[in-house]
Formats: sequence, structure tokens, C-alpha cells
Amino acid sequence: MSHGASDRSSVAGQLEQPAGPVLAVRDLRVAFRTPLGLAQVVNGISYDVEPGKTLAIVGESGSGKSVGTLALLGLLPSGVANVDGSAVFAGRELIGLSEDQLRPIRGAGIGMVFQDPMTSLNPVLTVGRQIVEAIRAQGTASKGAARARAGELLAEVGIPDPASRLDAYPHQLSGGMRQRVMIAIALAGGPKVLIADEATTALDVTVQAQILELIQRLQEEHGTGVVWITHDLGVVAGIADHVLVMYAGRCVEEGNVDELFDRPVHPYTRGLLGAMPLVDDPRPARDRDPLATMPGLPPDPVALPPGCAFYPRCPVRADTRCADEVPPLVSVAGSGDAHRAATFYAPEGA
Amino acid sequence: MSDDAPAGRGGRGGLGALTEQPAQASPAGDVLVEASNLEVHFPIRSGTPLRGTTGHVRAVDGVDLQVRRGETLGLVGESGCGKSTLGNALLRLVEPTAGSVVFDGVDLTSMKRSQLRALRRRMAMIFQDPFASLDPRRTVGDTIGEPLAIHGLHRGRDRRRGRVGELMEVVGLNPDHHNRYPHEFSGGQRQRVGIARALAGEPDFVVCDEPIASLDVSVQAQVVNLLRRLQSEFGLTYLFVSHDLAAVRQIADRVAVMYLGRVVEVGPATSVVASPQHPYTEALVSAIPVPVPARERERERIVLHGDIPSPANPPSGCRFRTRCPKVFEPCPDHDPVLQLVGDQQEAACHLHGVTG
Repeated sequence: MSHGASDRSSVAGQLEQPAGPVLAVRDLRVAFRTPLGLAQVVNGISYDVEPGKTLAIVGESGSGKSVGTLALLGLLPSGVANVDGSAVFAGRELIGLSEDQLRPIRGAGIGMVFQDPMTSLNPVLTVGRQIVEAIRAQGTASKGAARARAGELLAEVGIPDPASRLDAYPHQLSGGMRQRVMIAIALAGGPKVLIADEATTALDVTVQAQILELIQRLQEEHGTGVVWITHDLGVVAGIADHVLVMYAGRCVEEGNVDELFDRPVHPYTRGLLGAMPLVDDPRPARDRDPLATMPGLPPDPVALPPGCAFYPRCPVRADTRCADEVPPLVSVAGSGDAHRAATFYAPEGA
Repeated sequence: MSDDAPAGRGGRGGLGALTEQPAQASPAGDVLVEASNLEVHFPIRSGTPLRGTTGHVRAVDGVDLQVRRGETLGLVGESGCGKSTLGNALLRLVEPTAGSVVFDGVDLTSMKRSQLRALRRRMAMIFQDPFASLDPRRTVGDTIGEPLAIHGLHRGRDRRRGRVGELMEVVGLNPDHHNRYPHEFSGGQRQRVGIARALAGEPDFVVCDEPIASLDVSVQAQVVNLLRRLQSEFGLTYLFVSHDLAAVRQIADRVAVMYLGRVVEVGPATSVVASPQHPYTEALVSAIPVPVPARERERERIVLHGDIPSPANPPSGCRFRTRCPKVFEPCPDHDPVLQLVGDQQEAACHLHGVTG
């Protein structure tokens, strides 16, 4: 599913074939100019998004998981962000495109759903008007046709009584309904890729279950490639095909979802999994071991350590190179090519 | 900061007054806090002058709940179910509209404010947002020391400073940082400051209101481990309010599930999660993702339809009936009450016999 930077030419050669990735990101780098120096927030990540499949990008606050996708669509402030690398969507290089060139790709090519539907929707416009705006931005639909289509979209995302809901303002809807409206707006252009950035984080779990079901249904119906950005490994386990774990702006491990959860290799991935309490562990709380923890904090992106960015917190520190060399992302011995990790450490039995 | 192993240097011996309290280790002790038919209704004021109140949000609407000495009672439910209001009402941080709260044999609800203050030392709260719950213009040492000043504990500057240092050490902060301001700390460290402040008065009962909700996963684990360690060291009793059932399962002995102002199920954490007896609990448990792909794919998710009704105008009869996959004849007319459905497990559902 994912390839190294060396495969870039072959990806470019597959553009006309529908079977290839719909979005191919290679060695993406994002740095922000700050008064304290250059903050290296994304430090070379590569991935492919396949039609009908879900790629999960996992990481904690500040890992660069959101910034990396905002950069693809030119949604970072141009004055302070330096974006490098390549992102080929449907045969077109996105990095370096102007605002005018990007506009038709946002929405019609790549749709986005953000975390907080209350701040993403305009509070003084009806949801119908906002969906109509998204539809008309894509082409020449008349107001009437766009409104009819908006009603269909609301029905498609599971909003009851869609015709009357078009006239509702965001505050009149629940959080789950608002997120459905955001998804309707994201789908208005019929995107080939849907980027969901912590799209269920602000929602209650039963509402999250509704939204996950909705996204999976829409994905099956339309063959959309989904990029699911989250910190929640539980959600990832349920919906992802391929998983990429980010730390300090780099991919530290990636692989097929089963492989990655069953045989995590990188000490950070192992730490994250160990830190998650299991709701279905039958033991009473007092009989459970304390959760695994990682000491310390992620490094300051203005002053990244010279070696492995996880080195200062790493419980293993298996190799003398850890402090000085950035470990390359390489295939995990004994696994398929898709499972790769950036660590000098090789756990027993892996 | 992450020393979540039992504290070495800052262990029991170094804790001064905290060790003077009798250790209450038994998770099934007597009742420390009891709410009976507790109601907290908030008036909805009309925007028009002189038109007054147009209704009430029934945030907590008839709750009976017992917290036993030395246990952790997890209080779970979704946004707007009233769980935080209930936590506040147990400490009388909001005034109950009706019903009573008895703390260690004393009725808090009938007490005067001045009488309440003396009892306050024995109760504490840990808040959700470590950014909003600390005064940005005070050093963390002053914040942690404030309860000492209020309750007249460890009088004298040096003794108080020494005590603040002990408290910081016990929660895994470097006591040398007492002169720093909140912005100099990470989210997890700030939450430790909040925990140290809560412990300052040597409380018996601590309401933890979504204490890990705004933290990263690895930091959540640190805070959960810390709270568990503090409980076993000091015999604390916790009400752990959270929407995160997986985290609750890691710390709670018993769990109470709230829906729309009511407790719909309560019992041992193991049985409530493994064999929920209320359809809402069942849906809630099924919706919690498990970070194990094979198990997560096998699990049957019960997807509830519709939205939670307004607490200003709850449905007649059972409040869950508008979304319940198992709704049947008695539900609209009878308001179910908690009944015993298993070993110490209670549920308010007509499937176990029509009540109310």
C-alpha cells in the first residue's frame, strides 16, 4: 500500500490506471517559521490512499498528523509555512499549486471533515445555504437544482426530515447532526478522497458509532478513499485497512491494521497500545496492572534531537546509534513489505 | 513526569498529615456519600424582561446513589446526561432543587454555608481542563497551598512551603518548580497540580470530573495510574466522572450509568460492562472501540438512532424509550425504577419486570 520515495516514478506512471492509488504523498515536509526558529512539524512522510480503502494516520497532539494533510490542500498560512515534497492526486501535483488551481480540487477532488462541527459551520447561515454553496462552488448548478441536491445529501447522511432541516441553523442541530452536515458538505463535490481529521473526537461514543457506520457505508457506495486522522487506536482498529503511526513529524511505523496491532515493533507504537485501557478486559480494576506509560514529552519541533526523535523517552534504547542517527523506515523482518518501522530495536520473536 | 510506580521518596513516610488519616482500604466499605431522590433543575429564563422562567432543564432528576468508603464509583454517560452536575451536587457546589446528600452521616443539603466550610476540607474536586482550572497568574505552589491557608493547615510560611513540596512530590512533580506558573507546565503536569491541590486538604472523598478527557493517550495512562496509586496509599474514595468507559473500567470498582438525568444502571464494574442489563448500557458498551482489530470487527455494535431528547422536556415513562431498540408496551406509561437484576447489579428497565 505504501512505498518508499524511490517508487515515486512508478506511481507517476500509473496515473491513468484506476487501480492505482488515488492520492500518493511522497516525502512531505512542513516547517513553520516562528520567532524561536524553524519548527519542523512534518519531516518526510509518504503514503498512498487507495480507492475504497481507509488509511489511518495516528498520533498524539503535535505529531504533525493534521498539518500534513492541511498542507496538501494549501490550507496552511502561506506566509509562515514552508511545504516541500510531493502529493500527486489524480495525476496532478498538488504541492505548489496556486489558490485558484487548488479551489476546484478542494471539495470535488478531496473533501475534508474537521473535528469540531460547531466551529467549522457558519453559525449565521442555514445549513441548506452552506451545502448549496458547496455544490455551486463545484459547477454551474442552478440554485433550485443545488437546493434539491442538498436535500438529497442530507438524506444520504441520515438526517431525518431533510427538506425541513435545510432551513435549520447549526445551533438548532445536535453535535452528531452537525457532523453529518459537515460530511454532506464534504461529499457535495463527489470527492475521490475524504480526509477526516479527528472527525468523531468531539462526539459521544454512541454518536461516534453512528458516524463511523455512515462513513463506512458511503465509502462502500462511492469507492471513496478515506484518510482517517485520529489519536484513538480503538477507532483505528475498527475501520482502518492500513495504519501509519506518527511521532514528531515522522512516520515511525506503518502496516496493515492486523499486522500493526498484533506485532507492533516500534517502542512508541508499543507504548501507545499499552497505554490504552481495554473495556473488554474481564478483570476488576484492582486486579489490573497499571497502564504502560512513556516518560517525558515529545520533542520541541524547533529543536529536534539529532537521532531518533523518540530516543529521550524510549524505554528500550537498543542501539548505540539511537542518539545520533535517525533510524530509517524499513521493512520489518519476517513480515510483508507493507509493515515497516523506523527503529534500530528489533523485539524478540519479530 | 511519569513516576507512576509507587512513590519511593515521596511515599507514605514523607506525607506528614496525610498519613494521620485512617486508611480505608476496603473497596466494599460502608456508605460515605449517599444521594437520595436528588434533583438539580436549572431554570430556563426567557429572553424577554419580566417574562420570567419558561421551563427547567432537569439536569439531575431523581437520583439515588451510594458511594462506599474506599471505593471508586465510575459515573458514565454522554454529554448532557447530568453526570457532572450530579458530581457537583454531591459536594453541594450546585444547590440541589430537591432531595438530600448525606456525607459521612451528615446531611449536607440542610447545612448552612458556614457549617459546610468545615466539612469542605474532607471533599475535593479534580477538574477536566487543567488549562482553565488553574489561575494563570499564580505560581503552582500558591495554588496548591491555597487550601492549606483556607483550612488553617500547616500554618507558617516554611511549614506550608514544605507541605506544598511534599504534595508536589507525591503527585510526581519536582518540588523545586513551586515558583513556576501554569503555562510552564504540560497538560499532564498541570493535571498533577490540580490533583496536588485536591489532596492538600487531606480529603476523604474526591470527585474527579473528566480528569483525563483533555489529555493525550499516553498522558491519560499516567494520570489514571497516579489516581489509582494515590487511592491505595491514602484510602481515598473517588467518584470518577467520565464519558470514557474504557478508562473507567481501569479504575472503578462499581459503575453507575446515567441517561437524561437518571441513573439507569449501577453495579460492579465487571458485570455492568460484561453483562449490561439496561439497553442503553448495552449500546454504550458496544460503541466503545477496542484497540484489537480482530475483536473490534467481531463485536456487534448497537447503533442507536436519533438524538438524545432535551432534558427540559424528557419523554414520558422511560426516558430512553425514544431510542431504545427493545421498546415495548409499558415503556411510554411507566417510569422504571432501579431494581436488583443480578449480584449487586441494578437496572431501571421494564424488561426485568414493569415498575413505576
